[in-house]
Amino acid sequence: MSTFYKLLILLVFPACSLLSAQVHISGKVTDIKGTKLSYVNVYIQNTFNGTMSDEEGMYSFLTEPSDTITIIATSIGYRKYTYTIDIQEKDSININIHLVPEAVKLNETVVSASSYGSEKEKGLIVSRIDIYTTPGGAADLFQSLKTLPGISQVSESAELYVRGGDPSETLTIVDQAGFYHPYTYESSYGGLFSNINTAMIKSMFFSSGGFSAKYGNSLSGILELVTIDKPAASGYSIGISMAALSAAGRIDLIDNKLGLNIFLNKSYTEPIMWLNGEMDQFTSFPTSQDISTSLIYSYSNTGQLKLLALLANDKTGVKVDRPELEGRFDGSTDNTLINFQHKDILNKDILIKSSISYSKHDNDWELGLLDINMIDETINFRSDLETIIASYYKVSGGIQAGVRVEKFEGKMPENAFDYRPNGEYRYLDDNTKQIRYGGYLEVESHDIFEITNLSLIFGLRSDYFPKVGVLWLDPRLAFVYKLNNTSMLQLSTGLFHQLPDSRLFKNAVGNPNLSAMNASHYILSYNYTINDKNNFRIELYHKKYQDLPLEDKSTNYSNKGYGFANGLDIIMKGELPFNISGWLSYGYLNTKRLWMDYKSITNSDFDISHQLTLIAKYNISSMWQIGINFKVASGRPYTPVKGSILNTGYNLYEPIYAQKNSDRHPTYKRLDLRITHFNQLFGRYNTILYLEGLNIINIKNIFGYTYNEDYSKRSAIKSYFGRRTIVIGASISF
Amino acid sequence: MKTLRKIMLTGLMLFSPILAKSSADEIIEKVKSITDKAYFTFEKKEFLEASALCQRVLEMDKDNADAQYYLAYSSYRLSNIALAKQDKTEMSKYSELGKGYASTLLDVEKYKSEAHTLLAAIIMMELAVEPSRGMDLSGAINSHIEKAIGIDPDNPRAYLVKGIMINNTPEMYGGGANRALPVLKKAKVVFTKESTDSLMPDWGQLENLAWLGQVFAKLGKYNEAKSVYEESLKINPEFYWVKYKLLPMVENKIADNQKEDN
Repeated sequence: MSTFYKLLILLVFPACSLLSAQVHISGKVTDIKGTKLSYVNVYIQNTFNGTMSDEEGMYSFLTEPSDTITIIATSIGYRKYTYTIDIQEKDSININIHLVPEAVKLNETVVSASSYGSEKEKGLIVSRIDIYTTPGGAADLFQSLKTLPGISQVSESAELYVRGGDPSETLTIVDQAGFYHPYTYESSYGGLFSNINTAMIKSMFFSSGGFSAKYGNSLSGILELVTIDKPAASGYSIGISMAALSAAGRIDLIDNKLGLNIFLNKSYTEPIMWLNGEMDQFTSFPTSQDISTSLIYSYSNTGQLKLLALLANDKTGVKVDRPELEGRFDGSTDNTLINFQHKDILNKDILIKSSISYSKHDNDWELGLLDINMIDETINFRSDLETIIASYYKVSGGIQAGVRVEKFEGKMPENAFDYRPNGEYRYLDDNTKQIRYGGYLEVESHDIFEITNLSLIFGLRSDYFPKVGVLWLDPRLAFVYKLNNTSMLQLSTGLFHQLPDSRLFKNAVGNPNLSAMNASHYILSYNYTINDKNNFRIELYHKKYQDLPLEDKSTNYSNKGYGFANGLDIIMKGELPFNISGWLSYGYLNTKRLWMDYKSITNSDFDISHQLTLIAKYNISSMWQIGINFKVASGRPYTPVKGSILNTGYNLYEPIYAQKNSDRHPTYKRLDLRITHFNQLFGRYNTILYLEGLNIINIKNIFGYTYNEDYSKRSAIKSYFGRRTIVIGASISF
Repeated sequence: MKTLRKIMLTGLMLFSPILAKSSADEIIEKVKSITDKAYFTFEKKEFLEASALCQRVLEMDKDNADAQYYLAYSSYRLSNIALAKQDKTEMSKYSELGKGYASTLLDVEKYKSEAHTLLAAIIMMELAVEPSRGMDLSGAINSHIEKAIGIDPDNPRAYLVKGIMINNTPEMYGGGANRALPVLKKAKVVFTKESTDSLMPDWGQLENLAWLGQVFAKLGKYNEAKSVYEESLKINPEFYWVKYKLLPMVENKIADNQKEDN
């Protein structure tokens, strides 16, 4: 044997003997409760050696001898298991593996009461297609939300009157940024539509009460919107109707990295007024334009930067017939929201989202001697974190800081009954500035008190306004019990504070020592998921208002106001036989208040006792859909004029009012119809043609009353859609 | 002896990258074979085994694109299985996992088209669970399909997914069986031309025939459907879905039609 072969044998033989002396590793895989886990991947780090646990959770395999090895076990839904062990001089070892459940996935949240969302985990689903195809909704999110129970039909405006609260008690949030004026054509009676383009919305969450500690400075409701992400591919669309022109582009600038969304809209109402015989009502036809755009950069699989800009303006001129004045109301608005947002997932399970935003709302109103400019400017920072601790607790927390400056400048009538150009007025030049710091912490836990299917959410929220010295701490609590796979019982309660209108803190007309308003919510909710498409929900609620501002002879305003809202909301949403889909909702509300200029506790302006809405859509064929939206609602309370007295100083009749809100407008009824035709042309161009009839059976709903000069005769003012209005439109996307 | 053992282990470690590479390829070949079989048995266990093997490969080489692909593909199939069992939670977990691995392949030249195809297929499944997200998800699905075809016009799986998507899309939004038919026919042709690289994916041919048959059946062309199903059974006589579900259904239809004619 040559030396070479001797050397080879010397080298190879020990290696072979080394390889043959393998170590047997075995054991059982269970979860922390001792339940066997099958098909778990068990292997040694940095080797291919490994196996899967069998049906009984048992595993075994051979590995090469070593000093130490690290055993790894992985299974979806469980945390990665690692265990380092010295196996020197050992032939076999037994390692029993216990896997700990992975953090509960962040989107497996408990659905809070009174909530609606575009995603299942955020409550009863209201999808974007629901918004687009709701007859009479004009594809407007806010108008479509008004078909849900809990939002009262106080007027035809898009404003959200939630469970006896006024619209300022519901906060709109866009990508973490508070957006205080999300309406177009905003007058003292509210905005008619939203200026947030529905196509720009990726997901939404709406809550009419009992909401999370994440949201502060809001007494009644929350509408949180998340705008769309970067487009997966470029696409464009244009639309035309009798009321608007629109164009949109979703542009994939750098594949998988950078995208731009841009939506342009210009409304012009002259053709629609002409068609529907309403030319004589306007001195300047309502027009508006808006741009919604976002530039999104994904710097990693989880990290994203988004720059969002919403720019809108509108103007309108409408004839106004008052006892003392036949004039015109002119209104114009410029609205801006710019938000820069960062979000990422840190260390695999900490979701962080931060935003810095700027908004400005510049509104002019003119009517007779009224000539006022209102500017509302805000700068806000907000950061939210979400993570799972010890496998069972979902913890979220956040901080925010902001400045809000409101300016009011111009002429205001001294007397509410005299808007004549030569009437008496006072000149306003008010500036108010509020600084706010806020924060919250919330914990969500499942199977609490060792009761399977019982979940708890507990949160604490604090806000501090240093300029007026107001600080609050709000506890929020919700219990959710899953009765079975289809039904759920929820109990939510909490304290909700909100700062009153900042003008009420002014020394001259208000009270610098005012404190915050608050409301306690108590909600009992039962949710039944009949199947994937059909849901039923019934809720009972009680909301107790305290510390509302109330006129006070010595201090201008005190916090002695109070009130309540009790009610019942029911909704059934889903698909019915014969291809009919939609929802039926009913809301009962009893709300009374003593606040502002009220003299005694009485029905508030927003007390709509009964409200029934039916949305039904029928697919005639794959290309044709017909839908109706029928609504009946109790008339809104108002304060009637019971007489007048001649004011010789002004040579004008002064109204004498009956008791506050002692009468109601007639019952509100409206039927809207929409016929939609879907098609695809040349295999590429998706087209939608629609005909929408608002108030199709021409029911004379009223907006309010106007009076003759001495208030002896009154006549009804028609509501916005107080006569039949037909709109025809089309869109094409490619 | 102990010193010698250490020297030997050091020697093995020096050669381990070469050994690891060849072993990784062997494991991926095994994974491919497991997933091919598992498609027909529709067994969770087999796809889990494939996933486990891929994870071990990634433990050694975290950038191994083949392992990432088959992990994404196995996750897709596991979410298929979960969906069939109406387990939406598990379906969602696997689809998230699948999307994650597929997304990492979007920058890997040889897998770009396949990654877009898988992403389209996974999102399509999410759409099946939540049709209310149609407006958002269908755009993403179509975009991934177009990108997959744009990168590799001969990727048959991209046409298969496109055909399924069109078939499942309502006519009013540009879908329907009539529009799906030419796409699935095109996929059939491209599948026959597909070159076989031992590690690259080649799944989908029989699935395409199954979908083509369904589209024919939807259009009332039962004989054509039967013919396509029989073609798939020639390739794999134990193709359960076709053998025991789709083919008997279409044979019943043909029999019913014959009765009516008589």
